Amino acid sequence: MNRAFQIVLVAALAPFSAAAAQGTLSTQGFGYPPGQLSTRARATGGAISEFDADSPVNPAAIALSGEPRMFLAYEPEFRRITSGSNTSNTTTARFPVFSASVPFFSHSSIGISASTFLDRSAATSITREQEVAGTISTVTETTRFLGALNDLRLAFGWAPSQKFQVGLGVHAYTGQNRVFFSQSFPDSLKFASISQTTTLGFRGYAGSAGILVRPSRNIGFAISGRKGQKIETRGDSSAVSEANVPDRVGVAIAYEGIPGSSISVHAAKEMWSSLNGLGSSNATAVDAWEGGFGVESLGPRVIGRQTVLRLGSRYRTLPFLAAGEEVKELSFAGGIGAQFFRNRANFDVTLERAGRKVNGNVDAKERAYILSFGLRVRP
Amino acid sequence: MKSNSGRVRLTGLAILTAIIAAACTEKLDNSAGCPILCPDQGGQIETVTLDAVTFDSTVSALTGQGTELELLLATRGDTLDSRAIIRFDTIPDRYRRPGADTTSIEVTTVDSAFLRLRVDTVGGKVPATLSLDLYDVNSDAADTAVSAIASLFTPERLITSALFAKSELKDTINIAIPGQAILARKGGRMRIGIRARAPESVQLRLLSQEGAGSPSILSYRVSPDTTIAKVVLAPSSRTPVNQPILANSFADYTLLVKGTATGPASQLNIGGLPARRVYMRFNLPAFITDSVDVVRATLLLTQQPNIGLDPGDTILIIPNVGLAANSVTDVAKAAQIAATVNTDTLKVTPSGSGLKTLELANVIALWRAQKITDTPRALILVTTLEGTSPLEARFYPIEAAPELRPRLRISYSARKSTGLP
Repeated sequence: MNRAFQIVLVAALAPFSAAAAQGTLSTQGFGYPPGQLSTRARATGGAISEFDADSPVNPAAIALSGEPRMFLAYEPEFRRITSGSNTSNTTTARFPVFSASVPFFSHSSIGISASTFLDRSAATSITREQEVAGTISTVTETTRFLGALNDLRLAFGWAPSQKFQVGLGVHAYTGQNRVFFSQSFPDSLKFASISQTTTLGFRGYAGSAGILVRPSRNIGFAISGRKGQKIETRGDSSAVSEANVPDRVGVAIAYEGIPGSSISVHAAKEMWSSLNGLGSSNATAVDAWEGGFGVESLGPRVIGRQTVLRLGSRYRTLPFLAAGEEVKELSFAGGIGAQFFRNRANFDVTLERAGRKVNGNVDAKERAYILSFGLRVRP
Repeated sequence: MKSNSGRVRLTGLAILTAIIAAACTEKLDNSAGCPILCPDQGGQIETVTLDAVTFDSTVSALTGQGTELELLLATRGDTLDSRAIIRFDTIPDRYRRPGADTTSIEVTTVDSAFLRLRVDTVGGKVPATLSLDLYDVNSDAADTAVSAIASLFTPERLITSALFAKSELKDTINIAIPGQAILARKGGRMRIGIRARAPESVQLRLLSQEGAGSPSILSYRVSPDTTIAKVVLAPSSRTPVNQPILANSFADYTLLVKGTATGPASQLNIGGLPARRVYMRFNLPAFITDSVDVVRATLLLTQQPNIGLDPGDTILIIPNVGLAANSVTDVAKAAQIAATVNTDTLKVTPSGSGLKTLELANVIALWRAQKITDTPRALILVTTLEGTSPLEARFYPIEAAPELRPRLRISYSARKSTGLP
């Protein structure tokens, strides 16, 4: 085998690198799942998400929207990652949920929504020693990930009676992950810097269905599910990898027997392992359980406005393993909401504190404060 | 009560706005989790050494006579003889008094005549004392006729001789010139030949018109009346006629009477006098320019010792990137069509030997942008003092044994991110 052929062979066989460098517990793999929760649902630990028309979880929830409505949430997350004696503080700004619905004939509504399914926003910068042609040099590697996998849903909800709602949804998964990678050396005469930009697009589909049952005025039950279809990542106009959108099933119970208050619990399981194969072997997804508990109650009048107070807690496991270990997230939240403009606008604020950790000997933990601002209008 | 309510609302709105504004600025760097949570960051860097040089040759620098940035004065026994010529092709024969009187008066006397020169002794051979001999080398011989002009440096044509101590040779020197020498050339042209002389070897440089703004000036008075301005002349040349660019170059130039011995044709010779440079053409595997990111590229040269002139002095070699198109088939001409590039400098002594390295990473980046079907990938190795220093470094060419011939060592990253986590 001649030299030139050997070189070409080496280049051809050079492995493509996976960009598994997000550097946090929560943004491993394809990223962090904000949960597709409205500001109100986030404050109750996600417990009312199955009943909430603004959270694109259960399509049956929009059935009783008697008039057009729109909702937009803005959620900055202030995260601190600690590993050994090293600490990093980050700020991630998200618009995780937009939803809108309009009545459709009598007792039914159709709605659209766009929500963040997995947010991969992260950046790392490390400096290390690298041997290059016999010379040890300092190299600074910076990797920056921007973008998310988003869930676009078209939903139809029908309420034949006040006690029963049913809904169907079709989902399209779109979005981009842009990866910026650079290697730079201090001696620019000897070494040339490397800069690579990669854009990864998503294309996937799923269907969802849900039911709400209210056998009495004091209690409600909800169940919803999502059946995932194929999802693929695309590079320059060609598919890079494919897997399935995770199936999901969720149930919830709401008790409204105390005047002015609502107590809810929910549980859900998301089959994230369906995403295995969409990324490299470094991005291992595992099925995850989620459970939440929340209370919503009328609060005091402030500046002449009736307020609603909310408290909740949520526990879940995150979809992607970090250093081979499952990431657990426990969060506590509180929020307040009020109506404005002759009750045609609702403004909600939620503060959630989330702690994330892993089992085993992985010396890393994460704590985050998520502020959620939600505006709902009924034009 | 109502105004209190308004204040509360405004305060609340201000706090909310401040929180949202602060949260709008993303800060994503979370390096604290590395390397535990970001194991596969950069990928490996591979290194290959290639016989990538397909053609090499020593060629004349072909720097146009008179275009040098400095004029070399060197009297090194029988190894090197280099002199300088400075031309003043318009010596006025009349002058005017200041004021409204436009009557011109013939120059009949010249006083306080000086030739100002700027010297550069860096890297030179300057003994404790040296003389600069100025000759009248006016002739009809062409400036390119080296022998003819060199023969004019005779005792009969000696204008003056100025003795300098080494400590006096700082930046600017003035040499007094007899007024009669200028009067003899009034209304015509005066060409001054300069030769350095010392009991031992002497070598220094004078700044040229091309290297500095008017470094050489001839000045004198034509009247004892100090209200009449001094005559101040900068070097100028009127020949060759109808070739102003060439004529401008010949305002001052180096007259190389005897150059240094060049190395054998079987070697790559860089430097010397007349100046030589090396032209190298490269053939890189396509994957180097198309598929991978080159982190480092090093030209490996094996030096042969040259024990000629000043074997222990330092010579600096830089790579220029060849810009000559494929249509330029004359290598000597192709070696002149080049661009400088911000990269490494090879520092060697002529007597050095063994492996020498020259970093070319930035050159590879330029080559990527070059269309090889139009412009071959070529390097021209030149000295930083090309044409003004006798130092010459010699290297093995591609015909030498594999371990001695020029090679290209390339370190590259084959990392290709798919974007997948």
